[in-house]
Amino acid sequence: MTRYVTERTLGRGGMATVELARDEQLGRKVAIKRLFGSLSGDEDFRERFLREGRMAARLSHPNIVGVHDVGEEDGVPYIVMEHVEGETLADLIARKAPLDPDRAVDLVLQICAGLEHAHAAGLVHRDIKPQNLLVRSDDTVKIADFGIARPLDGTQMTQAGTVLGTAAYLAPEQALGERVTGAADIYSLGAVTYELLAGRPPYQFESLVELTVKQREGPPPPLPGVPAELEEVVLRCLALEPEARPRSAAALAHELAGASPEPPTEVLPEPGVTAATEVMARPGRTVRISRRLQLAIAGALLAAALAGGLTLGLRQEEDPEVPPAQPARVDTLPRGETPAESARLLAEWLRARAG
Amino acid sequence: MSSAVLLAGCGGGGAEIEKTAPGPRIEGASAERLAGLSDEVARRLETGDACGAAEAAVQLRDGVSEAINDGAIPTIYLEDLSGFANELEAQIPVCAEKPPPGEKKNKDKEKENDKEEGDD
Repeated sequence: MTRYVTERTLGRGGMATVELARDEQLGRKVAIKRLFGSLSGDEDFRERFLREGRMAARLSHPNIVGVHDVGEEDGVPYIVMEHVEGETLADLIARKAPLDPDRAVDLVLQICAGLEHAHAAGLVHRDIKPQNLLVRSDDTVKIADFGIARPLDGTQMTQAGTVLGTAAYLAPEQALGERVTGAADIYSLGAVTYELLAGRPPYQFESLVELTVKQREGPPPPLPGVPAELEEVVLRCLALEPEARPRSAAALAHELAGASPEPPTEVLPEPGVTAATEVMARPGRTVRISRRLQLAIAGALLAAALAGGLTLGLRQEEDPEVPPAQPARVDTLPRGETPAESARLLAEWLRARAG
Repeated sequence: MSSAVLLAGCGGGGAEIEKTAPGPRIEGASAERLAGLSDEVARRLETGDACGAAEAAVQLRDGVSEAINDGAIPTIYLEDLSGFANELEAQIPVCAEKPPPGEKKNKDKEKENDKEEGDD
Protein backbone atom coordinates (compact mmCIF):
# COMPACT_ATOMS: atom_id res chain seq x y z
CA MET A 1 0.00 0.00 0.00
CA THR A 2 2.57 2.55 -1.07
CA ARG A 3 -0.22 5.07 -1.51
CA TYR A 4 -0.79 5.11 2.26
CA VAL A 5 2.08 5.79 4.63
CA THR A 6 1.32 4.79 8.19
CA GLU A 7 2.22 7.38 10.80
CA ARG A 8 1.14 5.69 14.01
CA THR A 9 -1.33 3.31 15.57
CA LEU A 10 -4.44 5.07 16.81
CA GLY A 11 -6.01 2.16 18.57
CA ARG A 12 -6.41 -1.54 18.87
CA GLY A 13 -9.80 -3.12 19.19
CA GLY A 14 -10.98 -6.65 19.52
CA MET A 15 -10.95 -7.29 15.79
CA ALA A 16 -8.68 -4.77 14.18
CA THR A 17 -6.08 -2.11 14.55
CA VAL A 18 -6.68 1.43 13.40
CA GLU A 19 -3.75 3.40 12.06
CA LEU A 20 -3.32 7.03 11.23
CA ALA A 21 -1.82 7.24 7.75
CA ARG A 22 -1.15 9.72 5.02
CA ASP A 23 -2.67 9.32 1.58
CA GLU A 24 0.28 10.27 -0.59
CA GLN A 25 -1.82 10.64 -3.73
CA LEU A 26 -4.35 13.05 -2.30
CA GLY A 27 -2.15 14.54 0.41
CA ARG A 28 -4.52 14.01 3.29
CA LYS A 29 -4.68 12.11 6.54
CA VAL A 30 -6.72 8.94 6.64
CA ALA A 31 -7.52 6.22 9.17
CA ILE A 32 -6.86 2.64 8.10
CA LYS A 33 -8.59 -0.23 9.80
CA ARG A 34 -6.90 -3.61 9.38
CA LEU A 35 -8.31 -6.88 10.54
CA PHE A 36 -6.32 -9.03 12.91
CA GLY A 37 -4.62 -11.94 11.17
CA SER A 38 -6.74 -14.57 12.87
CA LEU A 39 -9.94 -13.02 11.56
CA SER A 40 -8.45 -12.52 8.11
CA GLY A 41 -8.10 -16.28 7.89
CA ASP A 42 -11.84 -16.70 8.08
CA GLU A 43 -12.85 -16.63 4.44
CA ASP A 44 -16.52 -15.84 5.08
CA PHE A 45 -15.76 -13.06 7.49
CA ARG A 46 -13.14 -11.54 5.21
CA GLU A 47 -15.58 -11.51 2.33
CA ARG A 48 -18.29 -9.96 4.47
CA PHE A 49 -15.90 -7.32 5.80
CA LEU A 50 -14.93 -6.30 2.28
CA ARG A 51 -18.47 -6.45 0.93
CA GLU A 52 -19.86 -4.32 3.70
CA GLY A 53 -16.91 -1.96 3.48
CA ARG A 54 -17.80 -1.41 -0.16
CA MET A 55 -21.42 -0.82 0.75
CA ALA A 56 -20.40 1.70 3.40
CA ALA A 57 -18.23 3.41 0.80
CA ARG A 58 -21.41 4.25 -1.10
CA LEU A 59 -22.58 6.43 1.77
CA SER A 60 -21.69 10.06 1.49
CA HIS A 61 -23.04 12.22 4.28
CA PRO A 62 -21.56 14.89 6.56
CA ASN A 63 -22.60 12.90 9.64
CA ILE A 64 -21.05 9.61 8.57
CA VAL A 65 -17.34 8.84 8.58
CA GLY A 66 -16.55 8.39 4.90
CA VAL A 67 -15.01 5.20 3.55
CA HIS A 68 -12.48 6.08 0.85
CA ASP A 69 -11.05 2.75 -0.13
CA VAL A 70 -11.31 -0.95 0.58
CA GLY A 71 -8.75 -3.58 -0.26
CA GLU A 72 -6.49 -6.40 0.77
CA GLU A 73 -2.79 -6.55 1.41
CA ASP A 74 -1.10 -9.90 1.96
CA GLY A 75 -4.50 -11.44 2.55
CA VAL A 76 -5.40 -8.92 5.25
CA PRO A 77 -8.41 -6.77 4.39
CA TYR A 78 -8.35 -3.10 5.19
CA ILE A 79 -10.65 -0.14 5.01
CA VAL A 80 -9.39 3.37 4.45
CA MET A 81 -11.59 5.93 6.15
CA GLU A 82 -11.86 9.63 6.66
CA HIS A 83 -9.75 10.70 9.61
CA VAL A 84 -11.80 12.68 12.11
CA GLU A 85 -9.95 15.00 14.47
CA GLY A 86 -11.80 15.13 17.75
CA GLU A 87 -13.03 12.79 20.43
CA THR A 88 -15.60 10.05 20.81
CA LEU A 89 -18.96 10.76 22.31
CA ALA A 90 -17.89 8.44 25.12
CA ASP A 91 -15.06 10.85 25.93
CA LEU A 92 -17.46 13.78 25.82
CA ILE A 93 -19.88 11.97 28.12
CA ALA A 94 -17.09 11.18 30.54
CA ARG A 95 -16.09 14.83 30.66
CA LYS A 96 -19.38 16.68 30.43
CA ALA A 97 -22.45 14.52 30.98
CA PRO A 98 -25.17 15.15 31.84
CA LEU A 99 -25.35 17.57 28.95
CA ASP A 100 -27.63 20.51 28.65
CA PRO A 101 -30.76 19.22 26.80
CA ASP A 102 -30.30 21.70 23.94
CA ARG A 103 -26.78 20.57 23.25
CA ALA A 104 -27.74 16.91 23.59
CA VAL A 105 -30.55 17.35 21.10
CA ASP A 106 -28.26 19.18 18.67
CA LEU A 107 -25.82 16.28 18.75
CA VAL A 108 -28.52 13.62 18.44
CA LEU A 109 -30.20 15.38 15.52
CA GLN A 110 -26.97 15.04 13.58
CA ILE A 111 -26.83 11.34 14.34
CA CYS A 112 -30.44 11.07 13.17
CA ALA A 113 -29.46 12.70 9.90
CA GLY A 114 -26.64 10.24 9.33
CA LEU A 115 -28.80 7.27 10.29
CA GLU A 116 -31.66 8.36 8.04
CA HIS A 117 -29.29 8.60 5.09
CA ALA A 118 -27.89 5.13 5.75
CA HIS A 119 -31.25 3.51 6.42
CA ALA A 120 -32.56 4.95 3.16
CA ALA A 121 -29.61 3.24 1.46
CA GLY A 122 -30.54 -0.03 3.15
CA LEU A 123 -27.75 -0.10 5.72
CA VAL A 124 -28.35 -0.68 9.40
CA HIS A 125 -25.47 0.20 11.70
CA ARG A 126 -26.17 -2.42 14.41
CA ASP A 127 -23.64 -0.99 16.85
CA ILE A 128 -24.56 2.59 17.64
CA LYS A 129 -22.81 3.45 20.89
CA PRO A 130 -20.84 6.44 22.20
CA GLN A 131 -17.54 4.85 21.20
CA ASN A 132 -18.66 4.76 17.55
CA LEU A 133 -19.76 8.38 17.45
CA LEU A 134 -17.03 10.92 16.79
CA VAL A 135 -17.35 14.56 17.78
CA ARG A 136 -15.24 17.23 16.16
CA SER A 137 -14.28 20.39 17.97
CA ASP A 138 -17.01 22.30 16.10
CA ASP A 139 -19.58 19.83 17.56
CA THR A 140 -20.12 18.03 14.27
CA VAL A 141 -20.93 14.39 14.97
CA LYS A 142 -19.93 11.57 12.65
CA ILE A 143 -21.03 7.97 12.84
CA ALA A 144 -18.13 5.57 12.48
CA ASP A 145 -17.99 1.92 11.41
CA PHE A 146 -21.08 1.95 9.28
CA GLY A 147 -21.95 -1.42 7.87
CA ILE A 148 -18.65 -2.92 8.83
CA ALA A 149 -18.97 -6.56 9.70
CA ARG A 150 -18.50 -7.63 13.29
CA PRO A 151 -16.62 -10.82 14.07
CA LEU A 152 -19.82 -12.27 15.42
CA ASP A 153 -23.34 -11.12 15.60
CA GLY A 154 -23.67 -8.82 18.60
CA THR A 155 -26.14 -11.23 20.10
CA GLN A 156 -23.75 -14.09 20.29
CA MET A 157 -21.06 -11.95 21.78
CA THR A 158 -23.40 -10.67 24.42
CA GLN A 159 -24.71 -14.12 25.25
CA ALA A 160 -21.20 -15.25 25.85
CA GLY A 161 -20.89 -12.32 28.19
CA THR A 162 -17.95 -10.49 26.75
CA VAL A 163 -19.31 -7.15 25.72
CA LEU A 164 -21.56 -5.88 28.44
CA GLY A 165 -20.48 -2.37 27.61
CA THR A 166 -22.02 -2.77 24.19
CA ALA A 167 -25.07 -4.57 25.54
CA ALA A 168 -26.22 -1.37 27.24
CA TYR A 169 -27.02 0.03 23.79
CA LEU A 170 -28.27 -3.12 22.10
CA ALA A 171 -31.94 -3.28 21.22
CA PRO A 172 -33.77 -6.12 22.99
CA GLU A 173 -34.58 -7.87 19.72
CA GLN A 174 -30.94 -7.59 18.69
CA ALA A 175 -29.80 -9.13 21.96
CA LEU A 176 -32.18 -11.98 21.27
CA GLY A 177 -30.78 -12.65 17.84
CA GLU A 178 -33.85 -11.60 15.94
CA ARG A 179 -33.86 -9.87 12.60
CA VAL A 180 -32.40 -6.40 13.00
CA THR A 181 -33.91 -3.40 11.27
CA GLY A 182 -33.40 0.32 11.52
CA ALA A 183 -35.52 0.21 14.70
CA ALA A 184 -32.56 -1.37 16.48
CA ASP A 185 -30.47 1.69 15.63
CA ILE A 186 -33.28 3.90 16.96
CA TYR A 187 -33.20 2.00 20.27
CA SER A 188 -29.43 2.34 20.48
CA LEU A 189 -29.63 6.02 19.70
CA GLY A 190 -32.28 6.37 22.40
CA ALA A 191 -29.90 4.73 24.88
CA VAL A 192 -27.12 7.10 23.82
CA THR A 193 -29.46 10.09 24.17
CA TYR A 194 -30.52 8.91 27.61
CA GLU A 195 -26.87 8.72 28.65
CA LEU A 196 -26.16 12.20 27.30
CA LEU A 197 -28.99 13.55 29.42
CA ALA A 198 -28.52 11.42 32.53
CA GLY A 199 -24.77 10.82 32.54
CA ARG A 200 -25.33 7.05 32.68
CA PRO A 201 -26.89 4.41 30.41
CA PRO A 202 -30.60 3.62 30.84
CA TYR A 203 -30.12 0.42 32.80
CA GLN A 204 -27.53 -0.51 35.39
CA PHE A 205 -26.84 -4.24 35.21
CA GLU A 206 -24.21 -6.85 35.81
CA SER A 207 -25.46 -9.54 33.53
CA LEU A 208 -27.39 -9.96 30.34
CA VAL A 209 -30.13 -11.67 32.29
CA GLU A 210 -30.44 -8.70 34.62
CA LEU A 211 -30.54 -6.33 31.64
CA THR A 212 -33.20 -8.40 29.90
CA VAL A 213 -35.32 -8.53 33.04
CA LYS A 214 -35.03 -4.76 33.57
CA GLN A 215 -35.95 -4.08 29.96
CA ARG A 216 -39.06 -6.23 30.38
CA GLU A 217 -40.02 -4.60 33.66
CA GLY A 218 -40.51 -1.21 32.12
CA PRO A 219 -38.82 2.03 31.20
CA PRO A 220 -35.60 3.13 32.85
CA PRO A 221 -35.59 5.69 35.68
CA PRO A 222 -36.89 9.16 34.77
CA LEU A 223 -34.52 11.83 33.54
CA PRO A 224 -34.36 14.55 36.18
CA GLY A 225 -34.14 18.10 34.87
CA VAL A 226 -35.17 17.10 31.37
CA PRO A 227 -38.33 18.56 29.81
CA ALA A 228 -41.15 16.01 29.99
CA GLU A 229 -41.74 15.98 26.22
CA LEU A 230 -38.12 15.29 25.53
CA GLU A 231 -38.01 12.56 28.15
CA GLU A 232 -41.05 10.94 26.59
CA VAL A 233 -39.42 10.82 23.16
CA VAL A 234 -36.25 9.29 24.58
CA LEU A 235 -38.17 6.65 26.53
CA ARG A 236 -40.20 5.76 23.46
CA CYS A 237 -36.97 5.04 21.61
CA LEU A 238 -36.28 2.51 24.36
CA ALA A 239 -39.57 0.68 23.90
CA LEU A 240 -39.26 -3.08 24.02
CA GLU A 241 -41.24 -3.61 20.83
CA PRO A 242 -39.56 -2.13 17.74
CA GLU A 243 -42.87 -0.91 16.31
CA ALA A 244 -43.46 1.20 19.42
CA ARG A 245 -40.37 3.31 18.71
CA PRO A 246 -40.28 6.34 16.43
CA ARG A 247 -40.69 4.86 12.99
CA SER A 248 -37.56 6.30 11.45
CA ALA A 249 -34.56 8.41 12.27
CA ALA A 250 -36.21 11.30 10.48
CA ALA A 251 -39.35 10.84 12.60
CA LEU A 252 -37.22 10.82 15.71
CA ALA A 253 -35.50 14.01 14.58
CA HIS A 254 -38.85 15.73 14.18
CA GLU A 255 -40.03 14.59 17.58
CA LEU A 256 -36.80 15.66 19.25
CA ALA A 257 -36.87 19.01 17.54
CA GLY A 258 -40.44 19.53 18.70
CA ALA A 259 -39.59 18.49 22.24
CA SER A 260 -36.42 20.51 22.57
CA PRO A 261 -36.63 23.63 24.76
CA GLU A 262 -34.89 25.56 21.97
CA PRO A 263 -36.11 24.02 18.71
CA PRO A 264 -33.28 23.88 16.20
CA THR A 265 -33.75 25.80 12.99
CA GLU A 266 -33.13 22.86 10.70
CA VAL A 267 -34.39 19.33 10.95
CA LEU A 268 -34.72 16.47 8.54
CA PRO A 269 -37.35 16.48 5.78
CA GLU A 270 -40.88 15.75 6.96
CA PRO A 271 -41.35 11.98 7.10
CA GLY A 272 -44.61 10.09 6.93
CA VAL A 273 -44.96 9.31 10.60
CA THR A 274 -48.62 9.73 11.35
CA ALA A 275 -49.11 6.10 12.31
CA ALA A 276 -46.09 5.98 14.56
CA THR A 277 -47.64 7.77 17.50
CA GLU A 278 -50.65 5.47 17.47
CA VAL A 279 -48.67 2.48 18.61
CA MET A 280 -46.20 4.12 20.90
CA ALA A 281 -46.10 3.03 24.52
CA ARG A 282 -46.31 5.80 27.09
CA PRO A 283 -43.49 6.18 29.55
CA GLY A 284 -44.21 4.87 33.00
CA ARG A 285 -46.58 2.25 31.66
CA THR A 286 -45.53 -1.36 31.78
CA VAL A 287 -44.87 -2.41 28.24
CA ARG A 288 -46.69 -5.54 27.22
CA ILE A 289 -44.55 -7.89 25.30
CA SER A 290 -45.73 -10.34 22.74
CA ARG A 291 -45.76 -14.09 23.20
CA ARG A 292 -43.22 -14.27 20.39
CA LEU A 293 -40.85 -11.99 22.25
CA GLN A 294 -41.32 -13.88 25.50
CA LEU A 295 -40.44 -17.11 23.75
CA ALA A 296 -37.48 -15.47 22.13
CA ILE A 297 -36.22 -14.24 25.51
CA ALA A 298 -36.57 -17.71 26.96
CA GLY A 299 -34.77 -19.16 23.95
CA ALA A 300 -31.98 -16.65 24.20
CA LEU A 301 -31.46 -17.34 27.89
CA LEU A 302 -31.28 -21.03 27.19
CA ALA A 303 -28.85 -20.48 24.35
CA ALA A 304 -26.74 -18.31 26.58
CA ALA A 305 -26.70 -20.99 29.25
CA LEU A 306 -25.69 -23.60 26.69
CA ALA A 307 -22.94 -21.31 25.49
CA GLY A 308 -21.57 -21.49 29.00
CA GLY A 309 -21.87 -17.82 29.71
CA LEU A 310 -24.69 -18.12 32.20
CA THR A 311 -25.63 -20.38 35.00
CA LEU A 312 -29.36 -20.53 35.34
CA GLY A 313 -30.80 -20.68 38.82
CA LEU A 314 -31.95 -24.27 38.59
CA ARG A 315 -32.16 -26.26 41.79
CA GLN A 316 -29.80 -29.14 42.06
CA GLU A 317 -32.31 -31.51 43.61
CA GLU A 318 -34.53 -31.11 40.57
CA ASP A 319 -31.81 -32.48 38.35
CA PRO A 320 -28.65 -33.95 39.77
CA GLU A 321 -26.83 -33.24 36.51
CA VAL A 322 -27.34 -29.53 36.90
CA PRO A 323 -24.58 -27.69 38.77
CA PRO A 324 -25.44 -26.04 42.09
CA ALA A 325 -27.52 -22.90 41.81
CA GLN A 326 -25.50 -19.81 41.06
CA PRO A 327 -26.59 -16.24 40.69
CA ALA A 328 -27.41 -15.64 37.05
CA ARG A 329 -24.42 -13.83 35.79
CA VAL A 330 -22.65 -13.22 32.54
CA ASP A 331 -19.06 -14.22 32.64
CA THR A 332 -17.02 -11.11 31.97
CA LEU A 333 -13.53 -9.98 32.83
CA PRO A 334 -13.44 -8.82 36.44
CA ARG A 335 -11.89 -5.50 37.38
CA GLY A 336 -10.11 -4.85 40.65
CA GLU A 337 -9.97 -1.66 42.62
CA THR A 338 -6.33 -1.14 41.71
CA PRO A 339 -4.38 -2.01 38.55
CA ALA A 340 -2.43 -4.62 40.53
CA GLU A 341 -5.64 -6.25 41.66
CA SER A 342 -6.99 -6.14 38.11
CA ALA A 343 -3.83 -7.81 36.86
CA ARG A 344 -4.15 -10.60 39.46
CA LEU A 345 -7.79 -11.09 38.53
CA LEU A 346 -6.87 -11.25 34.85
CA ALA A 347 -4.30 -13.95 35.59
CA GLU A 348 -6.92 -15.98 37.46
CA TRP A 349 -9.43 -15.41 34.68
CA LEU A 350 -7.00 -16.69 32.07
CA ARG A 351 -6.01 -19.75 34.07
CA ALA A 352 -9.65 -20.62 34.69
CA ARG A 353 -10.18 -20.73 30.93
CA ALA A 354 -7.00 -22.49 29.89
CA GLY A 355 -7.85 -25.45 27.73
CA MET B 1 -17.97 -28.05 29.30
CA SER B 2 -16.79 -27.49 32.83
CA SER B 3 -18.36 -25.37 35.50
CA ALA B 4 -17.97 -24.46 39.12
CA VAL B 5 -17.80 -27.81 40.82
CA LEU B 6 -18.01 -28.45 44.51
CA LEU B 7 -15.85 -31.36 45.50
CA ALA B 8 -16.29 -32.87 48.90
CA GLY B 9 -12.97 -33.21 50.63
CA CYS B 10 -11.99 -36.79 51.37
CA GLY B 11 -11.04 -37.52 54.94
CA GLY B 12 -10.05 -33.99 55.71
CA GLY B 13 -13.49 -32.99 56.82
CA GLY B 14 -13.33 -29.90 54.64
CA ALA B 15 -14.45 -29.02 51.16
CA GLU B 16 -12.31 -28.00 48.27
CA ILE B 17 -13.64 -25.67 45.64
CA GLU B 18 -12.19 -26.17 42.22
CA LYS B 19 -12.87 -23.15 40.08
CA THR B 20 -12.89 -23.78 36.40
CA ALA B 21 -14.83 -21.29 34.39
CA PRO B 22 -17.44 -22.34 31.89
CA GLY B 23 -17.25 -21.42 28.25
CA PRO B 24 -14.77 -21.73 25.41
CA ARG B 25 -11.17 -22.54 26.25
CA ILE B 26 -8.10 -20.44 25.61
CA GLU B 27 -5.21 -22.44 24.23
CA GLY B 28 -3.39 -23.69 27.34
CA ALA B 29 0.15 -22.46 26.73
CA SER B 30 -1.05 -19.02 25.64
CA ALA B 31 -3.34 -18.71 28.65
CA GLU B 32 -0.53 -19.59 31.01
CA ARG B 33 1.94 -17.24 29.32
CA LEU B 34 -0.51 -14.34 29.46
CA ALA B 35 -1.43 -15.17 33.05
CA GLY B 36 2.28 -15.15 33.93
CA LEU B 37 2.68 -11.72 32.33
CA SER B 38 -0.37 -10.46 34.16
CA ASP B 39 1.01 -11.76 37.46
CA GLU B 40 4.26 -10.00 36.62
CA VAL B 41 2.42 -6.70 36.14
CA ALA B 42 0.75 -7.19 39.52
CA ARG B 43 4.00 -8.18 41.25
CA ARG B 44 5.85 -5.15 39.89
CA LEU B 45 3.05 -2.84 40.93
CA GLU B 46 2.90 -4.35 44.39
CA THR B 47 6.61 -3.74 44.85
CA GLY B 48 6.35 -0.16 43.60
CA ASP B 49 8.21 -0.81 40.36
CA ALA B 50 6.10 1.28 38.00
CA CYS B 51 8.66 1.11 35.18
CA GLY B 52 8.82 -2.66 35.36
CA ALA B 53 5.04 -2.84 35.55
CA ALA B 54 4.69 -0.62 32.49
CA GLU B 55 7.12 -2.82 30.59
CA ALA B 56 5.28 -5.98 31.63
CA ALA B 57 1.95 -4.41 30.70
CA VAL B 58 3.24 -3.66 27.20
CA GLN B 59 4.43 -7.26 26.92
CA LEU B 60 1.03 -8.41 28.08
CA ARG B 61 -0.75 -6.24 25.54
CA ASP B 62 1.50 -7.43 22.73
CA GLY B 63 1.12 -10.99 23.97
CA VAL B 64 -2.64 -10.70 23.79
CA SER B 65 -2.46 -9.38 20.22
CA GLU B 66 -0.08 -12.17 19.29
CA ALA B 67 -2.33 -14.80 20.86
CA ILE B 68 -5.31 -13.36 18.98
CA ASN B 69 -3.40 -13.46 15.72
CA ASP B 70 -2.36 -17.04 16.44
CA GLY B 71 -6.00 -17.97 16.90
CA ALA B 72 -5.39 -19.00 20.51
CA ILE B 73 -8.18 -16.81 21.89
CA PRO B 74 -11.80 -17.75 21.17
CA THR B 75 -13.55 -15.03 19.21
CA ILE B 76 -16.00 -14.30 21.99
CA TYR B 77 -13.17 -13.18 24.27
CA LEU B 78 -11.37 -11.00 21.71
CA GLU B 79 -12.88 -7.64 22.45
CA ASP B 80 -12.96 -7.96 26.19
CA LEU B 81 -9.48 -9.38 26.55
CA SER B 82 -7.74 -6.94 24.23
CA GLY B 83 -9.70 -4.08 25.76
CA PHE B 84 -8.68 -5.19 29.23
CA ALA B 85 -5.00 -5.41 28.26
CA ASN B 86 -5.11 -1.93 26.71
CA GLU B 87 -6.93 -0.58 29.74
CA LEU B 88 -4.48 -2.14 32.17
CA GLU B 89 -1.53 -0.67 30.32
CA ALA B 90 -3.15 2.76 30.46
CA GLN B 91 -3.73 2.44 34.20
CA ILE B 92 -0.11 1.87 35.15
CA PRO B 93 1.18 4.89 37.08
CA VAL B 94 3.60 7.12 35.24
CA CYS B 95 7.05 5.64 35.36
CA ALA B 96 9.83 8.04 36.36
CA GLU B 97 12.60 7.18 33.94
CA LYS B 98 15.86 6.19 35.57
CA PRO B 99 18.99 5.08 33.83
CA PRO B 100 18.63 1.34 33.28
CA PRO B 101 20.37 -0.37 36.20
CA GLY B 102 22.48 -2.56 33.95
CA GLU B 103 23.77 0.28 31.81
CA LYS B 104 27.09 0.87 33.54
CA LYS B 105 27.70 -2.82 33.86
CA ASN B 106 26.95 -3.30 30.16
CA LYS B 107 29.31 -0.51 29.21
CA ASP B 108 32.01 -2.11 31.30
CA LYS B 109 31.30 -5.40 29.60
CA GLU B 110 31.45 -3.78 26.17
CA LYS B 111 34.83 -2.36 27.06
CA GLU B 112 35.93 -5.80 28.15
CA ASN B 113 34.69 -7.29 24.91
CA ASP B 114 36.47 -4.61 22.89
CA LYS B 115 39.59 -5.43 24.75
CA GLU B 116 39.13 -9.13 24.11
CA GLU B 117 38.46 -8.47 20.41
CA GLY B 118 41.53 -6.26 20.32
CA ASP B 119 43.58 -9.02 21.86
CA ASP B 120 42.64 -11.42 19.06
